[in-house]
Amino acid sequence: MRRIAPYPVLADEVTLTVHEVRLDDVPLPYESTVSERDRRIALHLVGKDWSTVRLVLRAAAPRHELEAGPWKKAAFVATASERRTNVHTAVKLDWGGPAEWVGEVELHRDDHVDRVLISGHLVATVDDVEGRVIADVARPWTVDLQANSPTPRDEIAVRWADFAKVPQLKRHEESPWTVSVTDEAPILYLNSGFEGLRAVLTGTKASDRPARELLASQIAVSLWTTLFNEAIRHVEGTDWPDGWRGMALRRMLPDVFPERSPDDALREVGRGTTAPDLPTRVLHAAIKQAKAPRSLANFIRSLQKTGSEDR
Amino acid sequence: MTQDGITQDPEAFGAWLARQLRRKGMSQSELAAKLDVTRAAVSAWITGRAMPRIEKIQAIEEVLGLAAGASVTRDEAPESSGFIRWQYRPAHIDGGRELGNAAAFAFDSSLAVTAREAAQNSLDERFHPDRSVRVRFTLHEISGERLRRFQEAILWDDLVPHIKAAGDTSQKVGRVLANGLRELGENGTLLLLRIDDYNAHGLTGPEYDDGRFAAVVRRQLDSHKKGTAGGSFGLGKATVWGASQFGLVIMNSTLSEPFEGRRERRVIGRIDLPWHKLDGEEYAGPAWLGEPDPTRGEAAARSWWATERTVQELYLARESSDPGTSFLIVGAYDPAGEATTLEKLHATLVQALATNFWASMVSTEGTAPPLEASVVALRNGDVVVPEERVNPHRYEPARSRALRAFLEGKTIKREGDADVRITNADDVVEVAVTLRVPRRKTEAKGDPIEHRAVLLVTPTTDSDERANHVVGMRGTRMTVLDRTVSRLPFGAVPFQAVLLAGTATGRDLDEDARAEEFLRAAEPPEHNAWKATEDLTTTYARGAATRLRDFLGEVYAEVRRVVTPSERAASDDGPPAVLRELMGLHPTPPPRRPGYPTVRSVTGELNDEGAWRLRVEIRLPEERRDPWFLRPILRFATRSGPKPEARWAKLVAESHCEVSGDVLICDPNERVAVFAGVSDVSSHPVPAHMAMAEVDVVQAKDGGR
Amino acid sequence: MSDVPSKLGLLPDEVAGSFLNAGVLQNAEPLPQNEIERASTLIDRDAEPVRELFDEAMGRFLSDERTAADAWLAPVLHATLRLTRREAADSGLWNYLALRLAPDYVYWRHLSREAAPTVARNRFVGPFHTQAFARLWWAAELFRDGPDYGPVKVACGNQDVLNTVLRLEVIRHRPTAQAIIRLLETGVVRTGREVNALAQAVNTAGTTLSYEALAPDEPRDTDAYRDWVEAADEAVVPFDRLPRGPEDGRIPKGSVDTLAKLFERLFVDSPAADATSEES
Repeated sequence: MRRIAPYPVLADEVTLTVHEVRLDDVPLPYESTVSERDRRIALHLVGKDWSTVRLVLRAAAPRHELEAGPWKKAAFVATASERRTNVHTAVKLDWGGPAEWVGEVELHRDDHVDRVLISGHLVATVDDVEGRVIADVARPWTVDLQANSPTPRDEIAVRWADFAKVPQLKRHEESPWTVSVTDEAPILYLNSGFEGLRAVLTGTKASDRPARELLASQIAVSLWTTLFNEAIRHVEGTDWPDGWRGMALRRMLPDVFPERSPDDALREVGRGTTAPDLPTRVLHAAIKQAKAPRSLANFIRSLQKTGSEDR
Repeated sequence: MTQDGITQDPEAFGAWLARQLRRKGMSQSELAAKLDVTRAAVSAWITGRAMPRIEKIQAIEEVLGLAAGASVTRDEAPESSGFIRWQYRPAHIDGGRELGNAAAFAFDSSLAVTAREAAQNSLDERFHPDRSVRVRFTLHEISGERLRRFQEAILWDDLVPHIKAAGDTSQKVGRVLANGLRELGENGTLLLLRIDDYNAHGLTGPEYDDGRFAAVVRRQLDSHKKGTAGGSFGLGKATVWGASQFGLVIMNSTLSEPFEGRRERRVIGRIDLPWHKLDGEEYAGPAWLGEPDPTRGEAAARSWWATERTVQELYLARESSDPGTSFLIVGAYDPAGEATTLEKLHATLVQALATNFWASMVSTEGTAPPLEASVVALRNGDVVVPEERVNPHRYEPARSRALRAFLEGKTIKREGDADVRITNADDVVEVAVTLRVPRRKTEAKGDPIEHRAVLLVTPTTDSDERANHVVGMRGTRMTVLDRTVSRLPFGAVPFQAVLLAGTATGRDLDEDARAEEFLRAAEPPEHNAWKATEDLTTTYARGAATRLRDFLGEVYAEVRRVVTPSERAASDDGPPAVLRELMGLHPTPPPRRPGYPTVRSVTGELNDEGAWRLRVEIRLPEERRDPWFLRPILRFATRSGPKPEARWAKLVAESHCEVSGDVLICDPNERVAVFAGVSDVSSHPVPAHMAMAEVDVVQAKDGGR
Repeated sequence: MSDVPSKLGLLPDEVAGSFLNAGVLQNAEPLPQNEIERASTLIDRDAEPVRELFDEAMGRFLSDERTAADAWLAPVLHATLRLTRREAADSGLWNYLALRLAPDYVYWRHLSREAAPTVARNRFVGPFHTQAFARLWWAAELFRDGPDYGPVKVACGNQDVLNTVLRLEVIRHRPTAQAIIRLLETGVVRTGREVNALAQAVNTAGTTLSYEALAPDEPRDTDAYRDWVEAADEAVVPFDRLPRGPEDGRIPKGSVDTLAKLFERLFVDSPAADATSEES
């Protein structure tokens, strides 16, 4: 996929940096709060309750390209957004030098839950049309308000529960694990009431590792298969579903349809695909996600090692 | 013996006098005649009822040809006077022949078994209950001069013809004998194995009548032991002789109770030969090295009180005056054929002692262990393997630790109903297991008696090859039961378990003694199990076998319970590490060289109608046979949500492809295809100059509309 | 229904979801109220005032005019159940309302009208723009102009606004949202199709135009908003007229004007929109 703009845009990217973080007017220690490499600001490390955070930002555009081009009255608009709280604040930064802009963005505690995306875009007048977007921020920043999100965005949540004792899981009490999906997140439940499951999975004995990994990959195969089948029910047309479903599909579709681009593969399933071997494809993609071939090979090898001794 | 002994110990004098007469071959009457006293007087001296006057004593010494004062010191006549010799038992009148020591073949013999039986017997013979029994195994390989002197000391030349004759059969024993002789001739070396015990009773008692001496030296299957000793029906002794290629053992004993007024250096030898014929005479087999005893006929020989020099020559000199017995196994070997070198023999002995007696060797602060054992190996007087005191903690670290913790009262016990678990690597958990001992058949009917055996469980290292075993023992602290526990829960910590039953529990309860007897009866001759033996079923009431089985089953169940890893309370545990790496939702980077066609470049501009005129380059992946059927897609970007598609008004192939309807058919042999397109303005959601356009290609199954 | 809870609570997604079987969604099976209560964490907010609203809604509107209830309910819900955005982002609260406090309302409002009537699962437990109560509250929060809920009423009057526009990220920029509503008010867009076409046009053009730069917004006064939230106990929310919202600052009118003009042009110029208006 390639984009083309109906007016000239910048080839090079705009860089956004965070100069300072001020908590209720007191600057926070830079090194421990701001990670330039990861583009993250760790507000969750702040112990006390705060109400307002000010981020001092600086945006820099490629100067020569900007000056040489047809863009007039360039300005940088910084944005702070959080999807979960439907917040999108925009602030036009002040001129801070040739092809540079500086300014502040405020975040209010009441308005945020988890992660705030700090980004922006370069705006200019092009061909007498004002407010044209001529560049985006290639590497936006993230402000983390929570150290451990209850449902981490980048991982499927795994929880132990005694199925027999949890009303919603009681009907599965014979099963060692089950998967529950909501719009927010999928959760893998492991049954702590299933004798020995916990001991196997959390064991640390090196000699048990092949069995442990095999079990983990078996769980993962069934998990990914379930998630995929659930996620594709939410595909409308050619749109990637929101949240975890989109993420799960993005991971699996390249393996389900290796001969198609991800977008193409999405269309295929969105259309109610005609591929008759879809279940098989899904199975193999899940096996790949679960790294099952490797853990099974290791397990078989470990059996061969111990089989010869007979004491 | 004190200088005064003569006045204080008429019995000792009498015994001494009797020995001297015997040696001289002089009868009481003859002595009486020479001394001009009545035979009754001599008889009275000999039986210790009376003592001769000083003048008579001097005369006795003269008559017997002894040095002056010999009666005081009770020096024995030097053995070189030849009164020590081998006495061979003549063959049975009834023609019966023993072609081998029956007892020696009662069970598999090996050096390890010999060590076990010998040490067990020593343990059973403990004299001072508060002090350890010390057992010492000495391997001594001799050759050359030493060998020759030893052979002289045991009158080897006299034995050899008999051994040869006995070796001349096709029976197993004969082969062993012949082999022994041959090896001796070829190698010129002889291996002596000496087994000493200290703080044991020693071979007390009379020469022939009931007593320890007779039981060991004279009788085949006489165990002599009463009650609950560990030795096996006297079969144990047979393994001592079985460890000699020649069946030849010399014994030296320091007695706990005097015999004939003496204690130290009671010496006798015995060789167990099968029936053989020599020079026209038939011999039943056994022969004794000792003092001839005319009172019992030609066949008998008695022990004698040897000089210090003699025991030295016989390699039987004891280290201390503690009572006990030293056995010298002449021509020692491992009947199982496994250990051959001195080092291996040493190791075999050490291992056998450790394996069987670790429990008896565990001591606590302030209390000596029941048994101390050591092994040393020499060659012609030089140390080859230094003396090793067998350390139970070295060979059985986990089990010894468990037992010691129990003896010191430092175990972790169950409290109430709570489950007791192992938490540290050194923990010793103590759990009670009940054995219901049924009544004996001879007793009045009644309820079974409840005995609470002690089960100890402790973790062991991963490298312990015999982990997850239960060993069980009773008062003798000899391992009787040794089983792997099956059906262990996954994740159970590797462990060793020790079951102390019967009097091994260390309490002074009647129930314990009864359990001790019950378990003793449940042991087969090999002492390696508790099961429904004939002894058990005949002695105890019905249901005895069931009670035993239930008890053992409960033991295993308790072990399983203790080693089960506890299920920690649920929730707030993070996901298991092994799963985490499979749970990632973050995007994976796309391949640099994807296996599907991609749009590589889009250039163009808006025309006057507001339509896009685009030139698109498509990158095609590796060669394949069939052409690519691709549908070019034109979309417009959005701030969020779905991206609306627009239609093409015109599609024109530029290179390496053809247009068919709204599908491009691309040449599979090429890497790049180029087409040009014009968008259909009526399908734009907004005027084109207000939107970002995107071009992509997807695969079309059909050949085009 | 069994007892009315006295306090509101939070019911986690996966727990809530587990109660929604086919029978429940078809209103053939009751929701196990006691179990739901036990699975919820109660919070310190009275349930009664909120419950009252739903009773009132079901009383005011007949079952066949239930979609009109949205426009009435959204403002009063927002004015009664006063929440910070952070609190509102917790789906557990909305789950509790739907499964414990007022499942009858969910059935009343969202039970489909076909042969086998059923309620879509995401009306009980779902994203903010679809869940029965979250959508109303967020519509009110995102479409109000400071204390003025008027635009909310307009927005909720058109189901496609709630279904399509509400979930666009671009409307979080307040002037954008207001401009769209302005076009509704002035009748530039009327039908559902037109609303969708407008939404698409705004969404697409937003990649080339910075609405934020063209139509700057004033930051909301979060302190004033906080005060308003904390005054919930004393507030009296009227039923017969539009309640008054938080005084956290009005959206700059100039910005809304600029965008309204721009959007109108986009809509009119939009080739696809032309087509739909021809079709309708």
